[in-house]
Amino acid sequence: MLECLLNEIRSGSTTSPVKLAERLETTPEMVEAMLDTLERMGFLRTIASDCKDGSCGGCPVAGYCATDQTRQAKIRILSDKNY
Amino acid sequence: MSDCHDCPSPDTQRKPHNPGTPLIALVGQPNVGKSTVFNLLTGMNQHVGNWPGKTVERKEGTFKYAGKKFTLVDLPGTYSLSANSAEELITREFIVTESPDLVVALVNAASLERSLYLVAELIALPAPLLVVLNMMDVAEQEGYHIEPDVLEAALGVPVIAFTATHLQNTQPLLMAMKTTVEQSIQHQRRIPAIRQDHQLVLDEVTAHLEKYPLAPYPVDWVALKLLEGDVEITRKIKGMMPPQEWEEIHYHLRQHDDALLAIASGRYEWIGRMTRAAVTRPKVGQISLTDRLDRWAAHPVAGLLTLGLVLGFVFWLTFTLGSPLQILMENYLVIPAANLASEALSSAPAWLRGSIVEGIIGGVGSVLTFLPILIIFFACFGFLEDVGYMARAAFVMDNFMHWMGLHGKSFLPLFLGFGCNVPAVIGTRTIDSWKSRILTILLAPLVPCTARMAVVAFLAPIFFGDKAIFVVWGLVALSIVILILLGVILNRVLFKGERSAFIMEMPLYHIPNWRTIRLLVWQRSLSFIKKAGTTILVISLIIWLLGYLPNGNPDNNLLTKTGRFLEPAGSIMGLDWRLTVALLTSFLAKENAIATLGVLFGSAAGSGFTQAIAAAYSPATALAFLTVSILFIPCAATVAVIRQETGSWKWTFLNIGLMLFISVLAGVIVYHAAGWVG
Repeated sequence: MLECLLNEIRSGSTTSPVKLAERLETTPEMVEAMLDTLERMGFLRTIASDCKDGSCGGCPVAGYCATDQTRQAKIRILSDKNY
Repeated sequence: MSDCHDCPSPDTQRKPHNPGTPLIALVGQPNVGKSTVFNLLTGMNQHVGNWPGKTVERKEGTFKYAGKKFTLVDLPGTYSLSANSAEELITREFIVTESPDLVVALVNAASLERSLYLVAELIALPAPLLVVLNMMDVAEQEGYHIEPDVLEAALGVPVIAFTATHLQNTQPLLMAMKTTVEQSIQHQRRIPAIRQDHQLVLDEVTAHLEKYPLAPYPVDWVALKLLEGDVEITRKIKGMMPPQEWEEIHYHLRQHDDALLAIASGRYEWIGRMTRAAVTRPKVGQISLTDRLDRWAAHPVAGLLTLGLVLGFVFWLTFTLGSPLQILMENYLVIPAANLASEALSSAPAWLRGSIVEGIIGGVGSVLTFLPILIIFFACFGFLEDVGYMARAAFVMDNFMHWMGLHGKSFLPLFLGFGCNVPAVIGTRTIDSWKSRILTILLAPLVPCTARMAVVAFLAPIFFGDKAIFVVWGLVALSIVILILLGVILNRVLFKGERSAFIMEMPLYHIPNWRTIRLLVWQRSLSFIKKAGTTILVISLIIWLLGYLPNGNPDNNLLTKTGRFLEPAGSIMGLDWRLTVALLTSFLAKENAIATLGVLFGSAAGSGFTQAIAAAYSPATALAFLTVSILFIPCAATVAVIRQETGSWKWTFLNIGLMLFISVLAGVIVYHAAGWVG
């Protein structure tokens, strides 16, 4: 199940837990739980959605973009472990 | 799918840890409510220290029930028994080596799939296990109905429901703990199984391990952890075995180095069965508001239409509210200030009067008048971000870009570019492939940033009145279309069709938090005002100075000479020397285009900047200027980070050249097409 999920992600189309759940015939909650596990195993990594990682550099409004983190999308990408 | 093993309860083979005071371990994921339960049960009878050799807090306490004393240890929060962190290692070592008389697994009923992974590991250990479903109220609110009895039957261990935050009656929990410790009810545990090929090697490894005393570690568990590739257990067991025996085990393990995923898969198949049995999910008619809205907002086609409508509404709101305010600011603030300064300085030297009235008030004042437009922009995008819509916008745009063949990961930094191109370029660090990074960096300046949008939104109503909304909408669409077309071309050339993906977990839609939005608007506006008082002020004064030197003659100054020299280049797009100079000064900061025009057209003449500039140019010239402005070479800050991120002047100049070519070409086409259409 976890392998199928990882294969779906590796197939290269950007997606959401809802879409992945449809393809794997399971629930979005199950997919989200599996994504957590894949991240802990090092197959995925989360991209910071705020300025804490220094990616805002010299932007004049650096630090003002990120509002409440629960209102931000959580974005995960494949880690180097997959390549 | 592999089957469960039905195992006799391992607790029947154990002896109690301490018959006088049973030891109970409280485990669960972080933030599942363990501390609340611990405090509820132990009250004041607890003490806090550190785990030996660690900085992790150890909480231990006692409580009495039915005349019997129990010791309760609140173990650090953990997601699994994989020892990925100090906390997980402590929890694992305690459960495995201290042999507690009972392990109480606190699980979040509202997020059962996540919580049951730890249970899937605990259930395979010998310690008696009690599963406590916490946050049942939250699960019910979200439409999930969980049947503890069914889950108990499915798991083969006792399960009770509990809501710690409501301080409900603790009697059922205490009773369940006592009953499980005393093992008065026998259960048939169902533990997760693994794929058959891995099961064979697991049996081989177990057979090797059984020859050696591994206590206190259970042999089955050790074999499974070795197969998972657990570094800590591998190190320990390697030291406990003769080298030759270890080599044989290691040989088997090497043949199955993919077992980690297979074992975890088995656990999730097990979790799937448990939840299918015990959880009733919301029916189709009861789906959440977020799901209903996302059917439109996150749909590949309807989502794009929604995005177009949302952007259109933002522009409409900006022009309906912002433009009249901008005119009011000009009429009642900038022009009176210029007149006042002009009168006050009537006896002052011409250079001083000119620099203040035309340079500072004309330049900075003009830029400051589009503060209302910016505030509306910031408020609209802050609102959309706060309610959770921006994540959907990113998602549908990425789907669209994939459809066009553009690299998936590129979208994330590109999307940042709508705020500012600087973080967009730096954000490309998340892209692994160098080619992908370069492509994204080349495309990033094509995303219209807030400053460019503000310039266009400021000038469009001056030139086009009621039709400004369509002009701005069209210019943004043009930028995105050019970005996509260029992306498709470069993707084919540089990437050879390579694709990679990301997974976006979108937040729930929220009622907006007005305080957050107010704060965001305030901070961004303040940042803009600071910029107006520094960079734009300096540039305005330089522009004025160039227009004054050497002798104050308006027809024979350095700015006019420079402008006239550049005019042939601008004329192919219908731009005169003033618009050409304004474009050039926008290189330092996009808002400088307005400041420069403010200085050149002046605000002391009485009619005001907006009327003067509207009368000076034809619609074709105005449209060409707006087109070139939105596509023009990136600002100096962006160019600096492009150099920094690419580490190459070659790519930096290529980017500048590319943007210059695209903007001029678009300007020429738009100017001549608009002139032809009339």
